[in-house]
Amino acid sequence: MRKKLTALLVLLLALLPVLTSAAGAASESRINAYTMKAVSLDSGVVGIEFDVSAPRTMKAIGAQIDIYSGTTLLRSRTHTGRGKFAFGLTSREYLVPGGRYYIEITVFARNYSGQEDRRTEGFYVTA
Amino acid sequence: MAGPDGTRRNFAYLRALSTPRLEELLTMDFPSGGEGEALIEAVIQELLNREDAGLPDVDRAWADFQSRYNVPEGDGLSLYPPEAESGPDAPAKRPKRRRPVPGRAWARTALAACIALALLAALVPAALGYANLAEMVARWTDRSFSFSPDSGGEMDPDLLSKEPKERYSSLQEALEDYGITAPVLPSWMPERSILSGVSVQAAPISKSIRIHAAYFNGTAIQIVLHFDPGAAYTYGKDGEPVEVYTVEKIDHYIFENGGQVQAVWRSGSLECAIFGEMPRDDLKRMIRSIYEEEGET
Repeated sequence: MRKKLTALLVLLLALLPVLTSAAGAASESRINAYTMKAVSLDSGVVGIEFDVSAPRTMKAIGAQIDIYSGTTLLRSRTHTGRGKFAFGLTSREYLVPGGRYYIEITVFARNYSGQEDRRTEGFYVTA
Repeated sequence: MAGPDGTRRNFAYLRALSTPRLEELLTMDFPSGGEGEALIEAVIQELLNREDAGLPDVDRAWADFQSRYNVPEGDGLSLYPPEAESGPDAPAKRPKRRRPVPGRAWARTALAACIALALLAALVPAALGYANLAEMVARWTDRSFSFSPDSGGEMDPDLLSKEPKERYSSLQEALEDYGITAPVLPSWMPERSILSGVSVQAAPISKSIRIHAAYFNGTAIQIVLHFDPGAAYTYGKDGEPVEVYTVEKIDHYIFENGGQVQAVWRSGSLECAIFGEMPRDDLKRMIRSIYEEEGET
C-alpha cells in the first residue's frame, strides 16, 4: 500500500511541471492594457469601443476596425494617434438593420523604432 | 469334534467380543469335552490372533480416554505438546497479521487526502484550460493577462450616468466624487512622485468608467481604476511568470511588461492596476500601503 502511494506521489510530482509550465519564449509587449467591444445599440446601429495604453510614448497607438458581412470586407477604419493612450474611443457604425456582421478590432502600439504590438478580437453582431 | 473350519464357523462371534470379555470366558466353568472345550480353544485362539495382529483394543482405549482425559479439568487443554505445532506434521503457518498502530491509519488517510487535493489542484484547472488554480480567477499567457469575465461584481448604473468633473486635483477627490470607498488608493508613493493629472472617462457602449491617475518621479507611474465587471482589460506582459501577492486576502497579480512592473487586482466591481518603472519592492510597498492605516508605512 505504501509503495503504491509513493509511486502515485512520484508520478504526480513528475507531471506537475508539465501541467503548470507555460511554453514559449518570452516576448516583450508594447501594449500595457487594452479592452475592446462591439455591440448592437439600436436597429441598424453597431457601437464599437476600444481602449489601449502603452508603457511608453508611442509613435502610433490606436485601433483598426474591419467590418465583414460573410467573408466580404465592407469597411475598414483606423483610429490612431501619438502618445501612451488611446482611451475610450467610440464609434457608431450604421449598417443594414437585421444584418449579421463580423467585426474585427485590432489594437496596436508602434514605438519610434518601428516595433509594433497588435492584439485582435472578433465579434459577431446583428445590426 | 469340529475341525478348524467348524470352529471358525461356530465361534465367529468371538471376534466381536472384547479381549477382557474373552479373558472372562476363560475363567468360566464349562462342561469338559465336547462343546465347552471347543469354545475354550476358540477363545484362546482368538486371543492369540489378537496378540499377533497387534490390534489395539478399541473398547479399552476408549474407556482409558474417557477416564483419563475427557474430564472437566481438561477443558480447553491440548493433548499435544506445544512443539508439535512446529513439527514437520504441523499445519502450515498462517502469516502474522499486524496489529494496527494507532496514528498510522490517520497518517495514511492524511497522505491520501493530500494526494487527492494535489491531483485536484493540478488536474482540474488543466482540464478546464487553466494552468493552475490562480488562473481560474485570472488567466495569463506569455503575452497577456486578464481576469475571468465572471469574476467581477455588479456595476452601479448611477455611476454610468454621472457627469465627471473637468478637473480633479487628486485621485482621492475623483474617488470621493464617484463614491468609491473601497481601499484602492496607496498612501505611500515612491519618492519625489508628483501627480501630473487625474481623468475620469465613461464609455457608453461598454458601460464602463475609467479613472486614471498619472504620477511622475523621473519615470511615469499610473494608477488605473476600471469599473466594468463584464469586460475586463487584457494586460500585456513579458514571458516572465506572474507573481501572486496576497495582501488582506486580496490577490494582487504582479508581472513585468516592456521594462516596467505592473500589478493588477480586483476589489469588488473595480479592476485596479498600477504601472510604473520602479523596483518591484516599491510596487509591493504601494500595495501594502493601500490597506494600512496612516502612519504605518
